[in-house]
Amino acid sequence: MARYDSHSVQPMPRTGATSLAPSWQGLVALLILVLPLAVRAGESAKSEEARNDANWLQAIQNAARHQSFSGTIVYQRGDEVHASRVVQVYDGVQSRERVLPLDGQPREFIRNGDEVQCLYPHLRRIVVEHSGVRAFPAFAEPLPADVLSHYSLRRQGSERVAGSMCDVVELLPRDNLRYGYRLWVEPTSGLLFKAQTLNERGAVLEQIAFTDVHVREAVDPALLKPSWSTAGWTIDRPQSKATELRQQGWSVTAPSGFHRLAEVMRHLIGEGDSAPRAALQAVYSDGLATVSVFIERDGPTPAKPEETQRRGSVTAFSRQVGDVRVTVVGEVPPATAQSIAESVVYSSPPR
Amino acid sequence: MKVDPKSEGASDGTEDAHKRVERLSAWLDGELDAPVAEPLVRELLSEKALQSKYQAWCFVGDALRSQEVAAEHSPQLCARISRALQDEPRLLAPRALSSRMRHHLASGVAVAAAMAVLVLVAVPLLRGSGSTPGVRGEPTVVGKTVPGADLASRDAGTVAAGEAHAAQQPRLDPYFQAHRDFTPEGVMPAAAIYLRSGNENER
Repeated sequence: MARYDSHSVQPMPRTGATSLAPSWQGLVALLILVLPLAVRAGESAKSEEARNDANWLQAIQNAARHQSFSGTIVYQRGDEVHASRVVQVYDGVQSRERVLPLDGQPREFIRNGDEVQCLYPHLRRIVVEHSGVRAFPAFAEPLPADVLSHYSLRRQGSERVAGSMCDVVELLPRDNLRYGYRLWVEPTSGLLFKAQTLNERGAVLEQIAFTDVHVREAVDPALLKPSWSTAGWTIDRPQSKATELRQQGWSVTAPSGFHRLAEVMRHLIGEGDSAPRAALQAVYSDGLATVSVFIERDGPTPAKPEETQRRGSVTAFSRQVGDVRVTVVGEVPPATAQSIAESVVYSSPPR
Repeated sequence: MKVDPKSEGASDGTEDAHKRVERLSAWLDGELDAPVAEPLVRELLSEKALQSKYQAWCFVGDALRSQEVAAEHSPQLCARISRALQDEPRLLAPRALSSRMRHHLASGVAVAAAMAVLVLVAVPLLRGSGSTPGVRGEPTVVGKTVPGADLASRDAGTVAAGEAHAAQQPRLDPYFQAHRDFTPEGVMPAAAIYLRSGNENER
């Protein structure tokens, strides 16, 4: 924020009345010269501000990917509260991470680069997932400048989180297609120490925060090892193969600002021992929120033609279209998920 | 709504009165079968003391409920409808009807009586002025709605929590899990993705 020092403004010495009375032609000429400069200066200030905001977002992304840290994270939605131990080690090339939920059934998530192993000891099962971008707390593919065309950034002062003063920033949606976010960023490391997802009324849908965190300290790589010996465990690798919805005859109209990240044919792993089911999945992101569209032929018969479910900020909307089940899941309001589901159209594949 | 008939019905002073109050409470809770409820409804229409109890409990139910079901009407209209209903003949079918038909008719009369109670008793209660129950008050619904009053008040108080805490349908779990596979963290840390995706225990 700019600061003004009243002592730096010195009064001009008066040299005579006539010298202070320019002709009106001179005034107009002065305005003609000065106005474009002023407008340009205003635009420059705005673009400078936008650049700063974009840089600020980019800094979070970089910090998320290139920092080592360990700490305890608390996640809350509604009356549910969950705590996890989180460790990330960045070795200069890639980051490795272990998330250890402290409540519920014992389970762990261990990431090496883009591969994530989900360990379920009570099932003696490992589910191996692959993800494009999975660094702590990073942004999706759209650039920060793209993000800011759909969210406005407002700085809201400073607050203390996990023992550190953090800058508080709100990213508020410019339309009603998406949720807003309130972020607490530790300025030295650039890491998010706390984040809230806000609905259209500004109410908190879910939030996550460090209760303790150690940054810029050596993290013992042994902390990345799983708690159990996994010898003899079943390993599931959900198969996915890149495809194009258009080639399959499908089209999806994503909301403004949502970029396509992936289109794959994949297997969905059901509950328990039920057999995997094939489905098309298209993924879109506006840089903060991500939406998946699933198109599944001959899936299990649903109880209702349409159903909606919300888990924190994630909405699932599912509808039956003939013998095809279209399901949209994402961190978007229910109306957005429904509109995406209703935009899914089948026409004959191109020849 | 559970009401202690002893405390509520103390003014009646008799065991019968206690039993009637107890039955009225059970009826409001939806725990009374139709054959038992019918005579109670008849008593409710004729006994001022029982009507008073009914009004009071409905008022409590209303106080727990949101104002969204409120509707405006005048006390005069209530009185006119009340008189008109009192003038209506009670017997709506000839005696020659079969016992089965008589049973249905009795149910119909019970429903009509309940509606009459709604108009005569409950609706004026809704209209009451803030300090005078029965003249201007909060909305109510007769019958089985009183047990739901708790729920209504709970919902009204925790909208955001309710949104975030919708009943989980395991059928959608595979989609939540699969969505996670391709979810970049956005602004939320990775742990949020693992935790928010849902029922990990079932996987």
